[in-house]
Amino acid sequence: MTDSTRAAQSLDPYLQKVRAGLRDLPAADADEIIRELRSHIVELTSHGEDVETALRSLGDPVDLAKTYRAENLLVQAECSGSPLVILQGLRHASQSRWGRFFVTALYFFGYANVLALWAAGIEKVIGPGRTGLWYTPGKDMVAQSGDGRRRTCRSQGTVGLVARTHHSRRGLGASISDRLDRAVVDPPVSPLQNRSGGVNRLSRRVTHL
Amino acid sequence: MDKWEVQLRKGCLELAVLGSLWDGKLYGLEILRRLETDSDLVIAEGTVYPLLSRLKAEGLLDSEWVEAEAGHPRKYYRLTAAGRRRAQAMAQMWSRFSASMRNLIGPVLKEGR
Repeated sequence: MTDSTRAAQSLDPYLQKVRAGLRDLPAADADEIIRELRSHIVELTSHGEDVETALRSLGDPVDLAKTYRAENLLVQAECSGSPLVILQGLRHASQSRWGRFFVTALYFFGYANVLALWAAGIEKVIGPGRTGLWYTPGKDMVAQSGDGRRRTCRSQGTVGLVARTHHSRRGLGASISDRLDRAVVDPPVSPLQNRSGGVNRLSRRVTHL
Repeated sequence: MDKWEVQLRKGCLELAVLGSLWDGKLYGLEILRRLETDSDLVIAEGTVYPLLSRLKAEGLLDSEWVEAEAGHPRKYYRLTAAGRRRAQAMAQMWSRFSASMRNLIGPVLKEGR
């Protein structure tokens, strides 16, 4: 057996393992990587090093492919902005199973938020009267979307986004607040104010949220 | 302690590679040798090649295959314009950083002697 055939015997299976680990990179990139690694090993052996030693210094083929993938997919994620590539890059970059689970969960949470906001924005254009937030101090914060379902949450009566309440008229200037819906920090409302007919005037529409 | 040293070396690797290519094109093994001889950076080869591939994807390096007289082709890397800018910025950052670290650890070094 000649030196070169013996070299090929351990080199080729090694490179095949690396290549298998690079399957989700573009084929041209993966081929280029394999070509470079082969050139590296051939160069070392031509200086008298034996193939096994040369391969050992490159490390485990599966780990090597993983490092390549992590480096490449992160760059692709930065450049492309494609959601799929970003997810792949994040998953490859995370070291543990839990890390992978966490970034994947965070990823879907983030995109779900974006989609929800877009949907609300489009809905607002189509039916401005149906979409918005309603607020009554001491009562419920009501968000209503076009499908007619109401989602409520209990407001604390201290901080709220209120438009054209008697507070804003008094505090921030009637001339502007009569025309503009605006956000104000709502002072705590006493039960007395609520009872004395303030409720109806307070439960006005809040828009631009 | 060992872990800290590994992280430190890893963090400097990108600058080390860009620096090694400042004077002209080199192929992978030459870059490795340069890192070993000009610095005492003992770097696993399995780290440098993937890094080279990323730096190229980022547009900091350019590469070309050259047929060597030895009979097999070598992949040469060179800095792009963006790579030179990055290397300069990183080198300046590094020298500012190491100067201020030196001030900070001066007393520690004196004591140790």
